[in-house]
Amino acid sequence: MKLLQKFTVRDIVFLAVLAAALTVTGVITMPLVMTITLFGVRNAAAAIFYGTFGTIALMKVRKPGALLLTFVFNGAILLMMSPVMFLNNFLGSLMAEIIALAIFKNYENEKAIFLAAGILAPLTLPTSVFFAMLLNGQTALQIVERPLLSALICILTAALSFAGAAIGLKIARELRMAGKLK
Amino acid sequence: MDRFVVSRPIYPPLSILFSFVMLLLGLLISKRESFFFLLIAMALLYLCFGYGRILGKCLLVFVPLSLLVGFLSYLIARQEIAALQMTGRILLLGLCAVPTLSMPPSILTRSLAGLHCPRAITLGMLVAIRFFPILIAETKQILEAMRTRGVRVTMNPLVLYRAFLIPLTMRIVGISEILSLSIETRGFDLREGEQTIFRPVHFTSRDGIFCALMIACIVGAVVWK
Repeated sequence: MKLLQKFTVRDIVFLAVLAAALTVTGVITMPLVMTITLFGVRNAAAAIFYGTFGTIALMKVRKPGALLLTFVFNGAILLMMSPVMFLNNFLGSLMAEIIALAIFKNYENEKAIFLAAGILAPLTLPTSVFFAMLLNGQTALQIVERPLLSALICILTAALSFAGAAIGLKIARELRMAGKLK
Repeated sequence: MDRFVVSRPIYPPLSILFSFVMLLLGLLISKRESFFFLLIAMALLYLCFGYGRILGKCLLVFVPLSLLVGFLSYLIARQEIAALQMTGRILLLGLCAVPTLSMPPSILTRSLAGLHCPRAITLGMLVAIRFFPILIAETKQILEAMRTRGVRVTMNPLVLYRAFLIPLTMRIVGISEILSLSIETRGFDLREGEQTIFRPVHFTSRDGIFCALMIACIVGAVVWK
């Protein structure tokens, strides 16, 4: 709980509003891919927004746990629709923070922010495999039945996620220049 | 989201637990005959506890969706039983969402505060849930402004970036600044300490009955092959 003491009301509110916006983008994109059962397509659809909003969150609140909190708040809404999506996001953001902080120690460097936000969506893929195994009643091998296609979608997810992170950095820099993001 | 709220919800932590347990159990037994009886038992449980309206709304969305996914599954695999199981699994997702979807956000945060959940978490969850519909309205306004200026909603990344993402982020920053100022002005503090809860949420005998019936459903589903 000491981690939470570093956050101010301003930080928490910003992360929560950003989480709500992230859900809105999900509402727009998810119906398009909802019926596609191909592994990784849903992750790929959300990847660009996860990258963008994850970067903006960390650019404004450069504190360890900011990314995790954003996705916990996002999960609070997702929990009402699908507990699986909540777990997916929670575990993905937790792993992304651990990896980024293990390499860079903090978020002072923009590379740390780019890395954390960029790897988040690809990290939701392994948890998706686990839940897909349960949901579709298949084994992991059956899910990645078409290895080439699955690998391609995983690469696409990573590429979109990092592209989103790059867009997020650009937006954050523009807002900072305009004096909106302190 | 208020359209989904029920007047007498089940104790929020119990609702969340119910969703998790039923989803996992349902997925584990989805190849058994008892799976479809579990779905019926869940629906009956909701009807008995005043969730009928929300159940109806959920089924309105999830029945066609599950049929569509089931049909697609049949087209791909050509196996009737597998398609039926897939239909059931999607229906299960919808049924599991009923208690959590109908939970009023204020009651959820009050019960979490009562369980000594950190204030940062309860505040964030409340803001995220409350501002979800507001941000949908904001997004619509931005899209309308785009149309007014003659900017078409295309998949052109440059257009989406300049005309949609930048204004949306500006609005997020603006809203969060005003909201945090408003919260701080009302004396809200994140420091942990003695706190009072307006209308505390307690575990009632009604919740106890729900819990007992939930356990009966789980036992029945596991024992029944």
